[in-house]
Amino acid sequence: MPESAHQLALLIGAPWREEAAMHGDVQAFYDALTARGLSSDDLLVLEGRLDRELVLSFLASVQSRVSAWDRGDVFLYYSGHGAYAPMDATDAATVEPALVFGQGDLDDPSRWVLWREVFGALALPVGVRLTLLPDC
Amino acid sequence: MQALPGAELTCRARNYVFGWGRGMQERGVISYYAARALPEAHAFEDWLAGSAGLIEAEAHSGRLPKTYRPSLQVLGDTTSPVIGSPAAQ
Repeated sequence: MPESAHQLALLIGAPWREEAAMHGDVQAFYDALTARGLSSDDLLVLEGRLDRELVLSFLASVQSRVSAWDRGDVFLYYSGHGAYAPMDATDAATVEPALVFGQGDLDDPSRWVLWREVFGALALPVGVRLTLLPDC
Repeated sequence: MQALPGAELTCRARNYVFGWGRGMQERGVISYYAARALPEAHAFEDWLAGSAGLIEAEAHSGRLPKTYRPSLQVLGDTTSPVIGSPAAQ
């Protein structure tokens, strides 16, 4: 099987308060991907007290890195929480799935990133394949 | 009933405490099994089958309560290769 020209794994762990599961999950995926031959340069980890600005900034830096790729693989793993946004919606047609981070009130926009915004921020080139594993 | 838009990204996963004694660790159920099955998988269908096999075995043995069994699926080409290269078994 031919290997892709480029590969990059993004591991995001977003616990609420003192949750420990996300760190263990990220570590397990780091180890599993290392066992598959990915180097430390191929693995980017973002975990801890996350918010919208941090996550979108992280994704923007990834976009800069992959923007010139003509082909390759990006693996995005997310261990955290999510919900439909906005939470006060009364019409199912107007809600979208989102990541929800742990600090502040739930009506604080800094706690939310829509999945659509995640994909938009990554803006992967046409030849780059995205694998998404959400555990949330 | 029509599914909500993006329903495949609805967050509904659960955590469980795995291990015994000092090795006890709370983990996401999906992550726990998916990470264990990942190293040897060639294609997504292998990864899915490996994860599901581990879950069924541990549910059958009582190590994972059956109510915690996740329903896993691959959306997309199940025959596509997984990132990286399979680890030697």
